[in-house]
Amino acid sequence: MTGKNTLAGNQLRGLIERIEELDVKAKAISADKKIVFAEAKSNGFNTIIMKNMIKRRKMKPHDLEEHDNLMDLYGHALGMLPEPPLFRAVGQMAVDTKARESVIDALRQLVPQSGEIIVKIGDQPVRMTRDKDGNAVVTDYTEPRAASPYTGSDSNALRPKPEVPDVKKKNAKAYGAQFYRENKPVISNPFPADDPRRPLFDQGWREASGNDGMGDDD
Amino acid sequence: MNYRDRDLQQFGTILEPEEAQEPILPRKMRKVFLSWLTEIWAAEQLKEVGVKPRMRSIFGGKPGTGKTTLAHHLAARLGMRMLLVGPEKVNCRYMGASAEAIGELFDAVTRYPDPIVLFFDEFDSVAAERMNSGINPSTEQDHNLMINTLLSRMDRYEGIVIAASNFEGRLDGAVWRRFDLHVTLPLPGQNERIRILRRYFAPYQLGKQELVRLAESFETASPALMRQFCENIKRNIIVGPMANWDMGKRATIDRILDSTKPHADLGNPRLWTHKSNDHAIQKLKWPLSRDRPDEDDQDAKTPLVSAEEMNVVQLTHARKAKP
Ligand SMILES: Nc1ncnc2c1ncn2[C@@H]1O[C@H](COP(=O)(O)OP(=O)(O)OP(=O)(O)O)[C@@H](O)[C@H]1O
Ligand SMILES: [Mg+2]
Repeated sequence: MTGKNTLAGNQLRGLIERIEELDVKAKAISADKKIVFAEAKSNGFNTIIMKNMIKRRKMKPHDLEEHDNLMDLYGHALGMLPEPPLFRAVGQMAVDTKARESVIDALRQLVPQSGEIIVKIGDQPVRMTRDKDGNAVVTDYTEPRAASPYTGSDSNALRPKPEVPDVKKKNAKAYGAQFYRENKPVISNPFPADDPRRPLFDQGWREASGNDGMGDDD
Repeated sequence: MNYRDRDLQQFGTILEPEEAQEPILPRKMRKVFLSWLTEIWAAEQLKEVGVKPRMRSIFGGKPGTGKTTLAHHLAARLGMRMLLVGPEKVNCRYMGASAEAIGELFDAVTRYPDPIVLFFDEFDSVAAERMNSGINPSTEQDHNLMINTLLSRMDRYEGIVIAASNFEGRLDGAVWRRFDLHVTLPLPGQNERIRILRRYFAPYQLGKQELVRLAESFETASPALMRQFCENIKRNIIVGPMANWDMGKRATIDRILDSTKPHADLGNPRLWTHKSNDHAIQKLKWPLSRDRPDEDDQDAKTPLVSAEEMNVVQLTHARKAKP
């Protein structure tokens, strides 16, 4: 292949020129793609997610499923997923007692050292923790009721509650007054939100101070 | 912190009752809020006659007038924590995401085991009026979807919701109507300004007349600005000598005024016009003292006018001043 006009030289040039033409077209197409993405973006779509979606649509259903399972598994292993795959599976199962037991068994290994797993299988949620020897302990779990203030005595709160003093309702006002005299602010009211003694304490404090708890005017 | 707190914290900051401060407000305002507390506490008795206490309030008012402070205080009075939700937590860039965030927020608050006050800060940026101008259809659609979600979630939610906004007029009408107590926090009057200065100058103590004069020079200022001013003085008093600053009265005051700017919406109080030439500053004893002032201040001998009277005096002055 020395001469420019040899047969091989011509053939090669032809091939290269065809590739170059295709390159130009590819560039134009990828520019077109960018425009479509820009349009999507300006319409409020997340283009990263779209690209992901396109990739997923290209995959065979079987590969996609495997891919998703692995993502779940890895994500969970890294502590990145709030809802490990097992939970999802459990949620979708119509669980009879036997299945329930086997799911609980499977979950035992996943219980963190300092922490808990609460899982709802069938009607009765269970809480799994580890005792000091590291064995998984399973107990029934009662779900706290929704936050609806002043409608009863919900005390499933997880926040460690400060000590509630053992004061009779009829003495709550005097108790508030005493706090005022001890120079404690009205918000140091020790009774919880839904305790009928709370407003009485507040009232007692206000009456003793002669103001509304937002300072006196002078 | 437990997982339920984390559940909420993706939507904002949880404020503890113990951290609350009392806002300094005119008596009339305080009355409104005390009756609201009383009403909430009377839920059981109200139920007997078939009504519920009002559970939702919008606090309007200029920046720095204490909307957040007040909401936090009320939550603390009720013995509840407060979830402070900023608009950035619910305004999402992508289609449908904001509506979803609203749904998740209400779910999370409902799941939370303790009663909690849900506080939306800068609510006008969340619940701006729905649109159908057609200029940017997908954005408008997305916003409208979010508002509709907000409406339906609020209808189902039973807890206390407080929203704060500097621009109540921009709120979506239907959202606005879901709130049953609308209050606008006023700028502090002379009486409140005196109390604010006294609180934020502590442990430094000013004489009565010094406070009165200074409070006058702060007319139209927000409590937030006054707090900044006082705290900057205290910082200067401590740091200045270490940094070899001129700690003379005029130098200090002017330095602070130059670095403390009133909010653009509020205009400059008199002090910012006259700076250290203001007679409130000229008559201010310097350096400030932590001891109770002995009232040998000349003006202190003239009887103290009540703040209300003082406002009247100022008003009449103002009227006379007009040609
Ligand atoms: N009425 C008040 N009494 C005492 N301090 C106040 C009052 N109002 C505001 N402050 C102080 O000013 C600062 C800002 O107050 P806050 O955040 O409550 O105002 P806001 O009305 O919520 O302002 P914004 O509109 O900027 O959200 C706080 O540090 C607070 O302590
Ligand atoms: Mg605020």
